[in-house]
Amino acid sequence: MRCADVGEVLGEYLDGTLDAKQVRLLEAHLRSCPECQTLLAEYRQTVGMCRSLEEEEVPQGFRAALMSRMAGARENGGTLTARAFPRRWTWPSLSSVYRGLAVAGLALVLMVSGAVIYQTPAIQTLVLRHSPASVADNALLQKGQEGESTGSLRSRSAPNTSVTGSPSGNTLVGAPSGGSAVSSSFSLSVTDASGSPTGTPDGTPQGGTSVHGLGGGVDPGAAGQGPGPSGGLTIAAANEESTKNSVGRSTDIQRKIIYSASLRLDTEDFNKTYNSIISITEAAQGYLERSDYSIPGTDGAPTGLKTPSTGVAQPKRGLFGIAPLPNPPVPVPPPEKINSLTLRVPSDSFSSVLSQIEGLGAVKSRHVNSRDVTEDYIDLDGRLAAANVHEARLLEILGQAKSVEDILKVETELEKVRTTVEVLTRQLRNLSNQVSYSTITVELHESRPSPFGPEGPKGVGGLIGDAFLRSIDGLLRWGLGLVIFLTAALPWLVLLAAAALIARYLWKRYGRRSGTGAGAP
Amino acid sequence: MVSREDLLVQRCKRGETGAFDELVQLYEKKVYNLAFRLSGNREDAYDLAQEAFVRVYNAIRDFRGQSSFSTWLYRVVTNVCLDQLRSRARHPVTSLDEPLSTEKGELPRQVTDGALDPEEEIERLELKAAVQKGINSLKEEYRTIIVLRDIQDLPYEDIADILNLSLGTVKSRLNRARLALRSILSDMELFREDDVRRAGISR
Repeated sequence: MRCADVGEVLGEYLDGTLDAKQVRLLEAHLRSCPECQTLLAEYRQTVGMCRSLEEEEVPQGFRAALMSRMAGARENGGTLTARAFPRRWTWPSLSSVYRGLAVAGLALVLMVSGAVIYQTPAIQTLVLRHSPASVADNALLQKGQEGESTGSLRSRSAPNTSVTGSPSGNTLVGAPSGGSAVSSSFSLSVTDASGSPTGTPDGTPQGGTSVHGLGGGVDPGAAGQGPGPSGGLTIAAANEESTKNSVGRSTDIQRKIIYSASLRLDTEDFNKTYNSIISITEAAQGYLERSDYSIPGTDGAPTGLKTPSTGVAQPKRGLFGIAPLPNPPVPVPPPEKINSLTLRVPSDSFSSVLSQIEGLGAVKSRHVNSRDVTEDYIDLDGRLAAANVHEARLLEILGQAKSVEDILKVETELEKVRTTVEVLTRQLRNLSNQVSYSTITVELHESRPSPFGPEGPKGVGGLIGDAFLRSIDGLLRWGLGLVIFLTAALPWLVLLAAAALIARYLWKRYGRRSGTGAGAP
Repeated sequence: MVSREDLLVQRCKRGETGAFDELVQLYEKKVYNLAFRLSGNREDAYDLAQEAFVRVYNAIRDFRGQSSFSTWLYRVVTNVCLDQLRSRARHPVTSLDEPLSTEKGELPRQVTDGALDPEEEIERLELKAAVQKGINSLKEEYRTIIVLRDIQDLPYEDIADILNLSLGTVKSRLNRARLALRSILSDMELFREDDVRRAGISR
């Protein structure tokens, strides 16, 4: 017998079940091998040490605790479960293969359903169609179309599904700031006298109708008369005559400075802030020069009414070959609204208007700029005076002209000079307008992207309603995602099931043999 | 012949709480000790023993009497403990040194018998703690079989039943387990020359 075989038979040798021949071989080997003697001795001692471990006493109250728990469980009805014991949670007796599969499957479900939800925006309208904002927007859209059909609305921006115009009504301001001498240049505001559903929740004096008119290059007295209490349609024409006179005579050499400012303002109540800005501007004898309302991300049409829309269709994306639901009339969830306002206020009230507007919301950025145009002004003034003198002289020459040829020559010259005078006059008036009227550009952002619009329900009830609708919406989205996912995952699930069956077979075949126990009772 | 054990089981199946109480009384020491040796610490042993009895109680109607009640009970305890140990192996929470300190905690009580020299007594306790530690560091299947055979002193046939193994497998595995434990204890230098010599002489 070799040393390597000794270990194999020690157990039986000590039990006395080793057959006689083997015993003789072993004992012969042991006599000649001190190492195996030691092994045998230590083997014996190992067993002896294990046997010497005494039984522990059961902790006091063990049985009482067990029985009282069982009694408690019986009183509650039903069988006693392991849950009745404050033990660490353990997996149900699944094999590790199944556990792995379960975890992997769960992760897959979460991952893919998350992706599906992310890519499925359409279903949200199922709930949100009831929100007041979309009702209002629909009405507004309809109104805009009516306006267009009567030809009173010059242009309109209709990015496929989104609303056109500003939330407080379709305000169209078409006056060129340059104030050209053309008297037909007028600004036009079209709003519904009855007020749009979304219009002016704070109740401005106009009753939801804001009309802003201006003439090009009018002086402070004549401008800013726009907002008429009558509503409807207002045309403010420029008084070319008076403007010309007032500009022509201005010869004072005080500093000519153009002030301008641009603000980015975040507000929670979009319409209210908009109306407040208008009120402030009007109170300071200023006027709204331009208003661009847009909802970014809808169609890349940032300039509200300025851009005639060609209605670019949104790219349709099909997931798993399923066509997306038809686009709702309102993009949902409502993205951030932006209204870009250009205000003109008299230079005197520039700083006060600016600070008042800043107080209406969170100022995100603010740029104030001033440009000294005194020299330009004097230069223009001088050239205009010279041109006027030149014109007067030409008229004088014209009176003395004898031949038709002379007359024609002088007339040509006169024509040139008059054009120069006209250009210079316009430039001067332009400059003068810029000096006397400061420009404030306000970019108004709605900072609260509520799906219920700026006039969403307020108060506890409204908030509860909001939350409820939102969670139903989420549920629907999730549900749709799950359905889509399950459909898509079907082939994979079949594969996984096959893998699980194979794993179970292998487990039963090979895992059992090395495992120490049968399943729990 | 119907044993007392079988009678109690029959009464339990009829829903007699008192009968189960008697069964617990009969086996709590065995069950608790099995759980203690398998888990290596008393807190877990308490929880595991309770858990095992709960499972037995819930499943007693399904007990067909193919093996003896005690065998069935040990099988449940073993499975409960091994389940726990497997999950523990993935998330180890208890130090292996823990039994050592608790063994020392029992020192005052043991000393009062006064028969032994206190120093020897300490040594004896430390040795036991070390043996338990060695057993705990065995791999699961070796530990189980050592505990069932060399500590709980169950017959081979019962062990084969409990572990669902053949008799030959039980014996050969036990032998391998003992050799493994021997080398662990040897590494811990628990064998003393004179003890080895003494053990080698007597059979």
